[in-house]
Amino acid sequence: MGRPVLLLAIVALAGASLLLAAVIVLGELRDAYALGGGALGGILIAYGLIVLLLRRLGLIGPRGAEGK
Amino acid sequence: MYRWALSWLLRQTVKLDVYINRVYPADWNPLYYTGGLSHFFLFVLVISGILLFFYYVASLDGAYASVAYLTDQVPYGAILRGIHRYAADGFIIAVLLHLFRNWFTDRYLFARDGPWISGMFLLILGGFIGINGYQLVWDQRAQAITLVFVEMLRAVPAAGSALVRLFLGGAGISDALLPRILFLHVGTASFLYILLWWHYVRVRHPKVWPPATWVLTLLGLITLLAALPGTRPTAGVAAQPAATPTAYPLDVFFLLPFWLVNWLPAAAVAGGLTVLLLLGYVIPYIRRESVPQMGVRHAGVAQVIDGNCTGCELCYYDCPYNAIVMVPSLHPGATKAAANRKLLAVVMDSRCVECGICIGACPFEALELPKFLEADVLRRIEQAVAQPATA
Repeated sequence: MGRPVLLLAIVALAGASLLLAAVIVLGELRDAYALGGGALGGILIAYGLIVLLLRRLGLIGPRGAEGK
Repeated sequence: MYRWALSWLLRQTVKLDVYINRVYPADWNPLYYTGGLSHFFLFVLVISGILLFFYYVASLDGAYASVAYLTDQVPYGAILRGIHRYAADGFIIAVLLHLFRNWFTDRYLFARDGPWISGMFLLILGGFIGINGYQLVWDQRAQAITLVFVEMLRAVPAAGSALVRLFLGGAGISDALLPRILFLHVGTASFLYILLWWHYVRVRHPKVWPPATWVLTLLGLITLLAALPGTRPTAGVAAQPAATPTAYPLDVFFLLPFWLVNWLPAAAVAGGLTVLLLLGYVIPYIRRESVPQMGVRHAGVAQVIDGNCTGCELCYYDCPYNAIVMVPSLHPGATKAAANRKLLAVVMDSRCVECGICIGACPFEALELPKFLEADVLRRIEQAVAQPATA
C-alpha cells in the first residue's frame, strides 16, 4: 500500500473513532450500556489499526525506514 | 511417522510466519508473541476478575442472584462479565498457540524441558480455573457440570470419595460448595503467577507483553464481543436443586470434556484426560533417543573458541537462557583483539538450547555450534542469494 492510501486510512479511522466516541456519550445519556460498550470496543480496535498503520508508515517503531 | 509429521508442521509454521510478516511488520507478528498474548489475557482476567469479585455472593441462594444483578442492573456489568469470559477464551487460544508453536519448532527439547513442563501445568490449571468460573454462576449449566465433575472425582482410584467430600464440603451440595469453588478459582489463579515465575526463571529477556497494536485490537475485540447482542453474556436459568438439567450451552474452550459425557462415562473422560496430560509431559523426552537423525536441528551445545574470545560479554548479555557465564581469564587470547582480555566466556552445557544467538552476538568469531558452523551458514546464504529468482 502506498503512503497516500495509508494516510487516508488513518484519517478515516480517526474520523470513525470520533463518531464512536459520540456513540459512547449517546449510550451514557440513554443508559444503553451495551451500545456504549460496543462503541468502546470499536474505538480500541480503530486505535489498534491506527498504531499498525503508523508503524507501516515508518512514523513509529524501532525500524522507521522499513515502511518507506 | 511422528518425526515426519513434526518436520512437516515445522515447515508449515515457518511458511505461516513468512506470510504474516508480509502483512505485519516482522517484529509485530503475533505468532512471535503467543506467550506475551497469554500473559496479556491473564492480566485482563485478573483485573476484570477483581471487579467481578466485589459483586459476587458465594452461596447457593446468593450466587445466581448476584450474577443476575450484575448482568442486568449494574452499568456495564454484562460487558465486564463478557470481557472476563472472552479474555478467558483468548487465554486458552493464546496458550494453545504458544504450545503448538513451540512444539512444532522444537523449542521444548533438552534444556527447554523446564518451560515445557511448567507450561503444561499452566495449561491444565488455566482450564481448571475456567471450569470453576462456569460453576461460580450457579445456573443450570453450573449445576450440571458440577454433577459431572463430582462423578469424575469419584472415579479417582482410592481417594475418589474423600476428594468428593472435600470438594463438596459434605455429603451433598450445600452452602459449603460455592466458597470452595471460589477459593479454587481465585487461589489457583494466584498460583498461576508462581508457575509463571518457574516458566520464566531461565529466560533472560522474556516477551511478556505483546505490541501496542495487539493490546488495543484484542482488548477492543473482547469488549465488542461482550457488548454485541448475540455474544453478550446473559443471566441464564437459575439452578434447580430438585432437578438435573439435561440440556445446556457449552463453551468449546473449557467445557469440551463435559460434552464428551454424552457418549462416555465421566470416569472414562477423566481417564482420557489424564492419559492426554501424561503424554503432554512426555513430549520433551520423546526425541532424545533420535539425536543423530536430527541434523542441524540438534546443532550441539555452543562452543567457545578460546583463542578468539575477547571477554567483551556481548554473548553473556544476549544469551536468552543465562547459559553463558564470564570467568576470569588465566591467559591471553590468540588474536590481537583478545590479547589483553580479562574475562573468558564459558558455556554451561546444561542450560544451552543451541539457538545460536550467541554466534550472532559475537563479532570476534569466538563461538560456534559444532554441527552448524557460521561459515557454512554464510555460504548457504550466499548461494541462496546468488540463485536467480524463480517466482
